[in-house]
Amino acid sequence: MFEYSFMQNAWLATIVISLLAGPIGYFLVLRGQSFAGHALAHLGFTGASASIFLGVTPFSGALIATVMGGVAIGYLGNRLEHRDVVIGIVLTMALGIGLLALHFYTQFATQANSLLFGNILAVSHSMVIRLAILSALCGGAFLLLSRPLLLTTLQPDIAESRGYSVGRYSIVFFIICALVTAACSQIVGALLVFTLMIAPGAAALQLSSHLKRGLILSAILALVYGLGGITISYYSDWPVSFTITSLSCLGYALARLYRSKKHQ
Amino acid sequence: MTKLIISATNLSVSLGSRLLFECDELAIEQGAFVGLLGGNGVGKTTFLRTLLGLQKAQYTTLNILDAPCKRGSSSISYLPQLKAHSSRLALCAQSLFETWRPRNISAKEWQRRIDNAIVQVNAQKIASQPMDTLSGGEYQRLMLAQALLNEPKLLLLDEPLVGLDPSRQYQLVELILHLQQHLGMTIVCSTHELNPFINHFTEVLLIHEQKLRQGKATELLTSQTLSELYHCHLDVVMHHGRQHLIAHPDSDLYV
Repeated sequence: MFEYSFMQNAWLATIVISLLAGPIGYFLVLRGQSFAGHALAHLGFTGASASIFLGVTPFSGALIATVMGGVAIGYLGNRLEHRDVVIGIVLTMALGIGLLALHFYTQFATQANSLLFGNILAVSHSMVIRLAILSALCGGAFLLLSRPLLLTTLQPDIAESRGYSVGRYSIVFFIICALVTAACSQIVGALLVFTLMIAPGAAALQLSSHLKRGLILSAILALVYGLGGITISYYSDWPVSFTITSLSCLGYALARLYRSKKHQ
Repeated sequence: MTKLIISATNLSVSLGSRLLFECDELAIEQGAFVGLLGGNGVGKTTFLRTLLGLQKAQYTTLNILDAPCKRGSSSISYLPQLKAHSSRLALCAQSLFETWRPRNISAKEWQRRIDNAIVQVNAQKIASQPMDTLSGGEYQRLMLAQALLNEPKLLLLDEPLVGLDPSRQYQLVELILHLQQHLGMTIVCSTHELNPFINHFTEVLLIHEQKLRQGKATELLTSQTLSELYHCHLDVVMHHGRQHLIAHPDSDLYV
């Protein structure tokens, strides 16, 4: 299948994004904020659809919107009352704006489909390079800040007592998260970002209670889901996003089963 | 003269425009085991946060361990009140402890301290289990171990007994006492559970009607003071050579 350049691009993009999406998702699950990642992806969709009005590329539109959303979520953090309701309202509003774009630009329909459900096979070589740069930047920041990020994430009270600003780290984390979400949407689309970001981390957390192992596992699982999904899709001709979501769902179920056997 | 670990003059703490408590003078000596008592919402946690430098406060002086109070002091450890979310963590304690270490301590030394602290709270068997599979008592023991990692001189405990059954409460108190004697720490401990502690506190801080009051345990842990503090008829009685607190909720004496 590598004789096609679109498959080469698809593989490269998936590798570049999965290695980061897995560990970031692992963090989100640990923080108990996996739905924040879901909401960010929807904001990305809004940004991408609004890009038609603004005259920028959909990817830039998505990046701008998710980063703005990331700063807001990071800033409000746990202070926000009824957080689940707010996130729900924001993400439906985001879809509503996307629909509005669809209403005014009927030719947007094909684009909307790929924004929502992903179109990895249409990723160009230049997009792969952009995704690689983005991943390198986010991955670098993530590694550099991983220790304080972990402490502020897992034990905010104790982090504060040791002099860390929990709010500031939360904003930095969600900016990284926002960028990765926008990148992830390129593969599985806004509606299904959960599958590539959250599912690997959630499964990894079932499989190991050791942090380093969990982080590595989440990256590996994201990679397996992404590349496995593309491969199955290539041979079966089913949509990539379907095969990726199926693999991640199966992976999570098996991981749950493993944990319940281990700790029964 | 014994060294002062906490000393403050004209301390006053408000949340927004609401005065929580004030006190003219505060002096906690090294090695004290201080009970921090008061009804719900009087500002016990806020007082602990003040000592950590996390809460804005007005004062003439506020010195912790001979230095002006500032946030992030490595000689203070804080055990926050148990929250439902934190105990649902699917990570093991070992990993949790490794996540962070002070810059001036090597990874090897940190690992030695982790192993040591886990032994001190007798948690070798549970340190590599996911924390969401542990009981409340096991969880608190591990949190106590974490608080020991930076070898604190001052340990602040916020309601350490919440959610524990009576036997585990007494066991944890024994452990805290053992650690204190062994490591020579000064401890300030907020609690609503008085019976497990009442024979062990050496000093007491009361927050009542916006006043923070300090006294020896023998002076303040009396039927009268405690009844006033909690607006309920309470008796401190001796039984088998130990003090116990008994409540008489039906009595309208102090209501």
